[in-house]
Amino acid sequence: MTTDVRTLLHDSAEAPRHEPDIARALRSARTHRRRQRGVGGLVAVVVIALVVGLVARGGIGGGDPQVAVGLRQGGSEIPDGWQTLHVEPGIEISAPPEWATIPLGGVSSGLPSISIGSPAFDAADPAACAPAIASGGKWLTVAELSPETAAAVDGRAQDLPNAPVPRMVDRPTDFLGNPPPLVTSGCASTDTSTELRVWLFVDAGRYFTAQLMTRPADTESVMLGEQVLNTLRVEPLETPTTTVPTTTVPVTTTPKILPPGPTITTVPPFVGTTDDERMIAQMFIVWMDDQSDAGLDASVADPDAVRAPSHEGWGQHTPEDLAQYEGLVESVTVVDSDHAQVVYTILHAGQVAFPRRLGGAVRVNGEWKVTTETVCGMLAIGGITCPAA
Amino acid sequence: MEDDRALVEFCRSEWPRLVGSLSLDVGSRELAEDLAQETLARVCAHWRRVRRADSPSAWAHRVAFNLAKSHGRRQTTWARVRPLALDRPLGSVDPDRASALAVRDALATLPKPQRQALVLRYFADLSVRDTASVMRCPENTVKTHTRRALDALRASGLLDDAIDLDEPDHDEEVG
Repeated sequence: MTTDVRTLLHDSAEAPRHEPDIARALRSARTHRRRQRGVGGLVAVVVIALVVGLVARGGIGGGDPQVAVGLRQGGSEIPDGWQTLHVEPGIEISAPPEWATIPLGGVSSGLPSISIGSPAFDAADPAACAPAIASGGKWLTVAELSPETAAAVDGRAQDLPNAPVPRMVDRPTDFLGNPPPLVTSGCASTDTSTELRVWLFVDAGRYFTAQLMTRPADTESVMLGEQVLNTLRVEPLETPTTTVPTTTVPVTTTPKILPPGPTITTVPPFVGTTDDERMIAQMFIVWMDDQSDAGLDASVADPDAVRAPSHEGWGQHTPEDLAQYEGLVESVTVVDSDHAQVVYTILHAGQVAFPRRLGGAVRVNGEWKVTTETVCGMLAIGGITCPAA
Repeated sequence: MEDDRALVEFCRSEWPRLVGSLSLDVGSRELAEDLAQETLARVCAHWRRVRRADSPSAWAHRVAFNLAKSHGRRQTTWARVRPLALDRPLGSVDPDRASALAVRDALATLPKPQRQALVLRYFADLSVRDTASVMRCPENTVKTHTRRALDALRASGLLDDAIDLDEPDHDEEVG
């Protein structure tokens, strides 16, 4: 036995049996780069062809956006090191690691939207927009539209002189080099130091608008934004509405399973923006990952009420099998000062086992805890009933 | 040329750390070496970006752990390797080897976030901040996972009770 965990791990880790094959790694890298150059060259050809074609037809924005030219999901492979962001329900998008989410607020009442970019800025300060973009920033907003809103904006003339008319089209096969239906000025309609590209498209039966803001003629940023758009993944909804229960579901009710989300394992962990959100998410992770009495004591509002049924639940698995379970918090909505709702997913061996369940958190003696109802709702799946309070 | 030298040097120095970290995570040296080799190929392909990263080592570990996850071979490999490794009478292996197997067995039963936090912080010697970046979670969560992993190792008798569970963060240690 040792008191030094570093020694313990170093003594237990395997040492490599041979030196790294750096020559092979470099060969792989060269092959990768050649492939990338080929893609880049082809994209350049496509872009030139598009620009020439558009100029011949009277300028950017006047083209028919329904023509999907380009590579089949050319940028759909997520580059190494990019972060994957998950937006409920069933939307994923990946972006460079330095990009941050920007709290621009909901674009269309209750429907999913996300604004990402670099550098981030204080959305409460409208004056921050132009300087940040002028210094090379690029921001991308993707928002789902209700069918009604989609119909209203489809083909509607803009309040700008000579502005092209945006049309709702099928999602382009590849956003890279595919001209958006609208290119206009960005931060404000009179601001010429920024440029805004707007796409309207249908994906998986859902309507979206994507808006990319860059400096004028900043081709590199535009292409990066389009590459980010290419990573967009949309799951079809089973029901025509896209509402996620929020404050309408009392926290104290039995937890419900939300509409099915994507069966993915790359959902990034929820990162709260407030101490409350972070503490709530952490309590849920402790409850889901630490299947022990200590875990219950630390995370559940009334641990004694769920102790026996929890032991019964754990007893249904071998320790190895139990260790394969892990939790993922997808969102936290603080309802009031003492109650919150949490959407969480339980994975087994890296695969989604119990997707997008709705649970509750309650503040007990100043500390956020997982509600007894949440724990009992989970146990009920295994046929275990909590004793009546 | 100097850039190439720096790349080769980084690959050589990172190789044992990657293989070690991955072996503690996936439970198999062979798989760890495969994944570490693939990681180095990614490092070579993106070297200009990697060398500018705050922590090139954290970047490499992030790719390595993503590759381990993507391959999805951990369970099957560990399931294949473990009976061979652990069902062998302990008398037939040297005590150090038996102890290493016991530690790896204990690590395999930890929830993945706890295992990764422990390995990244105490084997790969990443700071709490870099570990949080690799695991894509808040720093406080890394600390919680680490503390719980240490608790579990203590409970399994592999780590002396005397260890200070409230040891300072790695950042503070090196700072």
